[in-house]
Amino acid sequence: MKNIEDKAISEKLGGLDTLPQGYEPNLDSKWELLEASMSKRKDFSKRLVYVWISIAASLLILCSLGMSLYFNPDKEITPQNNVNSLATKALPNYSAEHKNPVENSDKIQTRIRFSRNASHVSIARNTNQPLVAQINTDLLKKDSVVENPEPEIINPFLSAEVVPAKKNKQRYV
Amino acid sequence: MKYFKEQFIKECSQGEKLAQKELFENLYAPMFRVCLRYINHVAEMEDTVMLGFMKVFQNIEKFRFEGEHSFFVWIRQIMVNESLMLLRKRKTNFMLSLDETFHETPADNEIICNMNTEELNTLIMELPTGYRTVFNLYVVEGYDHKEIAKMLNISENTSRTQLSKARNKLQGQIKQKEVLYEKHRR
Repeated sequence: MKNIEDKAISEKLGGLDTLPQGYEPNLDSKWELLEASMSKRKDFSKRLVYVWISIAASLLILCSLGMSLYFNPDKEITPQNNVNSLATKALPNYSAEHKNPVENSDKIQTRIRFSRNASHVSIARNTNQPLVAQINTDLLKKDSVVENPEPEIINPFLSAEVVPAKKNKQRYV
Repeated sequence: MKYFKEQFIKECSQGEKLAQKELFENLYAPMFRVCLRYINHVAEMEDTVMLGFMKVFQNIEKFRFEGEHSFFVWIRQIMVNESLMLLRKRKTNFMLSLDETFHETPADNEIICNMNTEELNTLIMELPTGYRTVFNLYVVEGYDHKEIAKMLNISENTSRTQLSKARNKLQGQIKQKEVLYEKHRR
């Protein structure tokens, strides 16, 4: 019974393919509306794709940058490299005093004292100080500037000519 | 049910505006009727039909031709899904209220056959939303209780009970009509 009833109802309702009485929509305007909204959706989906592509690209760039920095630490700008370059720049700028170290020993001594007092001043400051003659760059590479603040100073007297002292003929009796 | 040839569907899927417009004009009324069975608010129904057509044109490339009826059935299914989506958005309660009791009273099949289609449609429209949805899905669209339960997120038993209640109510309404007819005849 139920099935017959159902069949009758479904046939009746399935056959309904006309609009209800009194309802007459303007199909042309509806179609235009549909077309407009469809094109809007297309534009939106295109924009969405571009946004996602740009996000993915920026993430990729960030990742690759991070990876390159992580796996190639030599290319990093470290203080060691800076120090090395500064040390090469701070190589001795021999003045006239060094040419005659024996004669100018007083001046040199005072400069050495001055430089020792300012031993914790960075090497960059010492670039104009000629008596910080040579900095052992190998040492600087191993330790940081702060750990080894006092530069090695070569005694200029060692490189000077040795003049034999006159023999004193006076003898104590 | 309307028939569509494969060539026409191809033209629609290739984005030919004239073919698409023809399809829209041909199917607007039947699809309006399909949505009308589920939604009784005209403005919401119009929106649902338009959304349904939008989905049809966006996904027409995915459609596989399996006979002249298949395209109509496919579009009708999209419209039903859109209507159900709207009902879900409205948070329609498809569950049963336990205090209601029902007794089946068989309706005369002859009365249904003699009834005007619009009258029958009006009677169905008068059913509560939960009853009407299950009744339409089962009787008109031909889904079984398992499928309906999945679609409406309810249990199969609820679907069965909703259908029985819908039938009961509809039969009561038909009986009333019958009495009215009898009175009118006399």
